[in-house]
Amino acid sequence: MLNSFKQLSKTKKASIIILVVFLLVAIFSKFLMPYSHEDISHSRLLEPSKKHLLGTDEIGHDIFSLLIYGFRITIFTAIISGFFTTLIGTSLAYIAAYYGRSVKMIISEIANLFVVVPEIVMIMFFSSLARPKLIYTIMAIVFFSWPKVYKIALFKIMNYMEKNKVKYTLLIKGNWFDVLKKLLPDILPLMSTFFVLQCNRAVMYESSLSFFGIGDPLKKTWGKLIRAALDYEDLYYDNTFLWYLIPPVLCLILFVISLTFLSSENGED
Amino acid sequence: MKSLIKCFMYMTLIIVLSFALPRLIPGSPLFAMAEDISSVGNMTKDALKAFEKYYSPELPLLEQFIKYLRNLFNLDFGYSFYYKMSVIQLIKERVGWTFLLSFSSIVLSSITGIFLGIKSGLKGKESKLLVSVFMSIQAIPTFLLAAIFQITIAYKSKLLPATGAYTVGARFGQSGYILDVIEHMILPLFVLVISQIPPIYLFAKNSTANVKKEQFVKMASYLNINKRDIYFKYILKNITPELLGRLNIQFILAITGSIFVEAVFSYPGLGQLLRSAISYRDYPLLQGILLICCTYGIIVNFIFELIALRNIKRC
Repeated sequence: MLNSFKQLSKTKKASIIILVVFLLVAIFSKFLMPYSHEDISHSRLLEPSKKHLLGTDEIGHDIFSLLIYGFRITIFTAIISGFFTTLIGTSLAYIAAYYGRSVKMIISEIANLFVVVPEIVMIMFFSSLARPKLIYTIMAIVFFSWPKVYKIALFKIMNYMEKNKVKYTLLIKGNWFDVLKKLLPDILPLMSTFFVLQCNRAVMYESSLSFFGIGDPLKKTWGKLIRAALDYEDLYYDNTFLWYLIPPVLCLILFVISLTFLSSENGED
Repeated sequence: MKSLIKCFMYMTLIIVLSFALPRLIPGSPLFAMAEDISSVGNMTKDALKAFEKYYSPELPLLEQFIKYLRNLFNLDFGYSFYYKMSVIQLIKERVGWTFLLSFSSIVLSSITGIFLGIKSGLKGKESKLLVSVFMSIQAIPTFLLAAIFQITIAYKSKLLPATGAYTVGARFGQSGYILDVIEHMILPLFVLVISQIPPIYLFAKNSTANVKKEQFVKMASYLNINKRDIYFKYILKNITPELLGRLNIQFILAITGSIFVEAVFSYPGLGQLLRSAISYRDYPLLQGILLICCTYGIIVNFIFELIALRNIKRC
């Protein structure tokens, strides 16, 4: 594990370190938050001080606590939707590749449709209709973003199916499970790349949705925090934006850029 | 012909989806309609009446669907609760601004993106910094990019107007109107172009680098064929089909990109409509925007498929 880490390029190493730190913050967010994210007992619009590292917002939340809580919710959303999108996309690709012909055609056409149609508008449409709950947002993201995984996965799996070991397995009448067992060493690394890529997409989708005010208002992701900051009217009159808007924006950007560099195939050096 | 059938199939699927899903998703107004009318929330009586007249939730599902189809064929998308106007009229008024923004951005971004991409694809390894910068920009959601530019350029340094497409009160035909519109367009357009260049650039760079490795290009350079000829006749010609495929996706992304940018800059296009439709849960308007965007995507795809077909025939 350590050896394979050393072989990675510098940018990838840096991305992994950042992501691990982010993940740790997300896991231990309960201990890092000085106040509860529901605590609105503080006086409003305080400037940063020792007591409130990033000040307080116009309702009386401690912004630092909200930011840390945002780690938890945002990363949780990303991982769950990334996982399910990858799983559904790759499984469908495997089914299509294994059965071929009409099964493949039907799934591929449906996938094509979602590539042609702007998926973020679809996601927005359906998650704004549903009850504002995080789980529905995640479901909308998964439902409309599997086709992208599917298309690439299908192409790769079709290539793997040509391999001799698969042909032998089919020759001795192996069923779909036997073939899958043979292919798994090829598919798993593929899936991990997809997973990182989809986590990235999920964060982008979620923050875009939050920007439009869609989703559970109680589950404060970074996107929601940014939205709240932008909604605050006097944001630009003094320096409030420095501790209200900039921290979640920085966290979000750092997170997505690290994911992007991690998932990029052409090592940049 | 085959692509026309495909087109038709996609459209049918979209219509079925847009009909079925709102009725299946828990919490949507149409789902709530079946249980309890009062749960829909702050709807006025008139709006409710228009809503019921358009959707007639009391009918059996099949008849509802037929009615829905008939309405769509007559281009009747219902009545917006919030704007108190018919949806199609609203969209007609606004869609021009969106097209203005997205088309001008796509022209600018594809020209610069393709040019830069081919250039660094030919050069090879020297463009590391540019690639990293572009990859980072690509990672940032468009609305965030827009918000950052709005803060720094419009609010903090007050160089350009921050919101709107024209100064309030200005009218078409007045002297200075066009200048005013252009001044308001610079910032949104700039953000859109910036957000669109990276994918085109990376794509053009990779495909150029791939073609450059091919045997026939190497052979051509051994034969001392003019470098310009190699670039234009050998490389550019070979990456054109791939680039067209990419531009197809880019056209679709342009519309969503401009929706986000418009929402940030309060530009009076579809994006702003979408934003108010979502915040007031204006269901018919939402549906209208969805259908327009999907139709746009399908038509763009169809056109590009036709172009691709013609290219294949010529070869």
